[in-house]
Amino acid sequence: MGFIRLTASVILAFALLTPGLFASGFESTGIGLKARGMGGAFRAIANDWTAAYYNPAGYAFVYDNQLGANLGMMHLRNELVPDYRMSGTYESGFFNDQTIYNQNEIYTMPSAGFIVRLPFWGETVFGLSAYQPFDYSISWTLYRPPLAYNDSTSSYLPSSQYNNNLDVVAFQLTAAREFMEEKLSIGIGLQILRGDLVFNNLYMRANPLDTTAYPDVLSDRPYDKIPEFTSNDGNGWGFGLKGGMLLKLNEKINLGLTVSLPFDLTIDGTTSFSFIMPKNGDLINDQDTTGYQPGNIGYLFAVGNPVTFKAVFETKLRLPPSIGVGFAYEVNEKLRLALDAEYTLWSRFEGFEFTYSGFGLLPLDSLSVVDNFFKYNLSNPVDWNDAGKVMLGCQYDYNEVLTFVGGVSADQTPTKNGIGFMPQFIDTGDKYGFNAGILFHIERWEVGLITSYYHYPDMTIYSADDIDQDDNADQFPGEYKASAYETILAFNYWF
Amino acid sequence: MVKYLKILSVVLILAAIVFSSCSDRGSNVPTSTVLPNWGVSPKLFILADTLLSTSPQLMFQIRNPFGILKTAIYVPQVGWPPPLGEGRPLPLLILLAPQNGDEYFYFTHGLQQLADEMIAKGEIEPMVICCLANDHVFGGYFYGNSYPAGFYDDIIGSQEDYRLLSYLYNDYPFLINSADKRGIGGIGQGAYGAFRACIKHPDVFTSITVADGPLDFDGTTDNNGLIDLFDDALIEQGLLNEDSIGHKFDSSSAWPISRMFIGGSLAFSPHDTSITYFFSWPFLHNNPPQINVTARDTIADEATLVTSVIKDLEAYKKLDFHLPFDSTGAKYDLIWNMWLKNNLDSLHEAAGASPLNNLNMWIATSPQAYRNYHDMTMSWIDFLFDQGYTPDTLVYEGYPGKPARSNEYIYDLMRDMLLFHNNNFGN
Repeated sequence: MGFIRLTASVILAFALLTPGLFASGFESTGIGLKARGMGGAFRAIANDWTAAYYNPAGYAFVYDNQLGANLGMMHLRNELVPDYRMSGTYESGFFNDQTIYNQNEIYTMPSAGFIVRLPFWGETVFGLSAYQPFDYSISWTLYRPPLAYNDSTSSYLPSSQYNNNLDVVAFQLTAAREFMEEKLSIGIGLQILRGDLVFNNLYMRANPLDTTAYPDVLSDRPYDKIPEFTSNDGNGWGFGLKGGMLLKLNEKINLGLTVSLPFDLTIDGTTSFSFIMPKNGDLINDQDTTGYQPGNIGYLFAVGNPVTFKAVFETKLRLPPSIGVGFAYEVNEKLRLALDAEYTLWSRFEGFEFTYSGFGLLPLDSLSVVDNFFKYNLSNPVDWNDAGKVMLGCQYDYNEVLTFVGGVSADQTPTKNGIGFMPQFIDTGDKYGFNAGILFHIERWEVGLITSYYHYPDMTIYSADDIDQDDNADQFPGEYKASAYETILAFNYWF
Repeated sequence: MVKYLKILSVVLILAAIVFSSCSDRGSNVPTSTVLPNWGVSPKLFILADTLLSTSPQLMFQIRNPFGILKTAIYVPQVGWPPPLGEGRPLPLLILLAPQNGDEYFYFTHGLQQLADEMIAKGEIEPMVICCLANDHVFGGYFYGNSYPAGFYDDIIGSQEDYRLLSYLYNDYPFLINSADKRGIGGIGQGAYGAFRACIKHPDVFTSITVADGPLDFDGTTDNNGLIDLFDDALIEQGLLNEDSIGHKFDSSSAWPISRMFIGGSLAFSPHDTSITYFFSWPFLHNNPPQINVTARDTIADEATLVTSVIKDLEAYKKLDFHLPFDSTGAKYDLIWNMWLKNNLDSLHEAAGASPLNNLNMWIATSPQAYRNYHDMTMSWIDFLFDQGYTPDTLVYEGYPGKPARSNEYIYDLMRDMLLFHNNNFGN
């Protein structure tokens, strides 16, 4: 028991000492039937195909071939009460002081894999699996320009204004073997990573005519900020590694160690730009004023027609490595407990910096002020901390047919006091996950249902700060509430 | 049996959690405000009427041969008689444009949509808003009173015939012709003009809303305010310490401070202090009135007389002016005192006891305001409090990168201005 206490103490100390951050960030909640039911505490158990994700070394102790699949259905139920005013005072069209929900969506996270034991290099167990180590999807409608800015935008104003649909799929070849029979195994997974990104954002751009060269009225409030909607849709490929070790200390106690090393992905694709331009009909119609005729910059910035075009973009997705440790204890024949900790280097993720090229046709693009304004490279920086996560799970075999699983998890948040907090990544603080599920064993089949709830603390962002000093706000002020529900349906088949 | 019931219960609980957590909450996105289809109409009032023998009004105003007062008027449709509207009686708000502002100044800053939206949301009652243009030649005459600048004291606020108010009440009969349903406001020179009209015409308006302007020419110390800008005007033109500035002073639009002093000088220190004339209107299409000047009284001092600006005009409109400062940028007392006679505190004193007693006042000022307007505005506020008035005041600033120097935030101020007038108009 001394060793148990020591191990548990080490894991707890490791978890508590990790700096504050939500280990999830945009990490998926995990895969599998038992594993998800136990809150992700599976590194020291790892006895089905999902060991590819939790601990590849577990494959070595899987003595039958297996095929499995699961479908996670995630529903983010977040709320935002915007408080986005210039300098906390001046309204620019955000739905301030009103509770807004993220757009209703249940996004799915399918995964599947199989394990085969082949007579290579002693008896090495191989597996091929596909799963999503990172997945996040959220969309908001938070803005409509003031009527005085432009009262004719309803037909073309985007609804998915702040949107992040980020998927990273890992196609993983896993190999594991025992190095000490029934005692120690080591496994490794080679990953091909496919990243898909749809990232929409609204940038309140400073009106470029706010200079002495142009009439004041063109950039006085409410024409001081020009909404620029961007929708970046692209993908990229990369590589990653998974490694793990599983040590059976005795008949009752397992210890697992894991490491995950995803390499950076270069995402490229197409960006659709849409600038909601000021509409100042009184200027256009005023017979006494000159310079507001078609073809003139004054016309472009007063007539109210949207400026839309496309370009090619490239950005870097810097995925975070992580290390994990797991501990499993078989209390008796029916009950098993597991405690895991994971530490993710979220500080590697720096947000997105978009570089554009191949612009479509722009109005008046011979003017440098127009060119510089419309073709400006945009960024969405974040400043995140590394983060830890602790998971505690239990498995209870009720009888030969039924198994109950349950688990809790505590994730630190990567966000540093809200720096760079945007609606595309709702990570309001250290979160707690509660998981429960039921598994049915029917001959060679194992099917089950897991449901999870994640509780986030409320968060208030007080100002629209510009982190990277590019004159665009990098955080969205308001009061945030967040929670998430997930349901997993899964089956495993042994053969 | 009990065992299966337990299992069934677990399954049902899990299913209930799944279904409840997947329910669609909708988006909560607010619906857009539906605006009424009310418009803004330009309206030209000819203020050079042969029937009006008591005032030349705008007859001598430079490059305004027809004596036209340009306005743009926002009229809620509910005021028009059925079937066009509801014949609803409406209050009147007059807004004066700042320097270089035309009759659309407030509308180009979103007044129409703002009023539409606030009325549609029930934040204010419908009201007619008449916006006056400032002078288009030199940017503005402070809505002062002189031959070259026009006699705005007679035009704005007077309830006699052939003045602005009488024209408005005649053309828009649904306007409530009552002081407690009448407001005025402005920014910059418009702020000065609005207070000037209220002082000159006590009890004509129930409310006034202004934002930074030349409300106290000599500022808080009696030696700053506009005085600090004298050398700026000369530096603008490269004339500081030059000889013969009276022959060199120019009105280029690149020199806004110089233009402000030209407009002010034409209003407060014109060379021609009195003109005897007679005129006739030929009643021919597009022909302006014919004016014959028979005598002039002029200021007998040429130290700061500017003769280089008003040129190439008909002889009767060769109306030069005197600057309130000399070539070193120092105030020239003879002329500066003429300006000070038009200072609001002087006008207030000349008007007798408490001319603003029944006026509800709202004054906004930004410490970032240019041309010492904040100092001048604060000095005027202090004066008002010293006189026993209790104006509402708002001190505001712009956001970083967008200081509130002149008209940048008039869109935001107009919301407060409309609310203030609405509250004073009552139901």
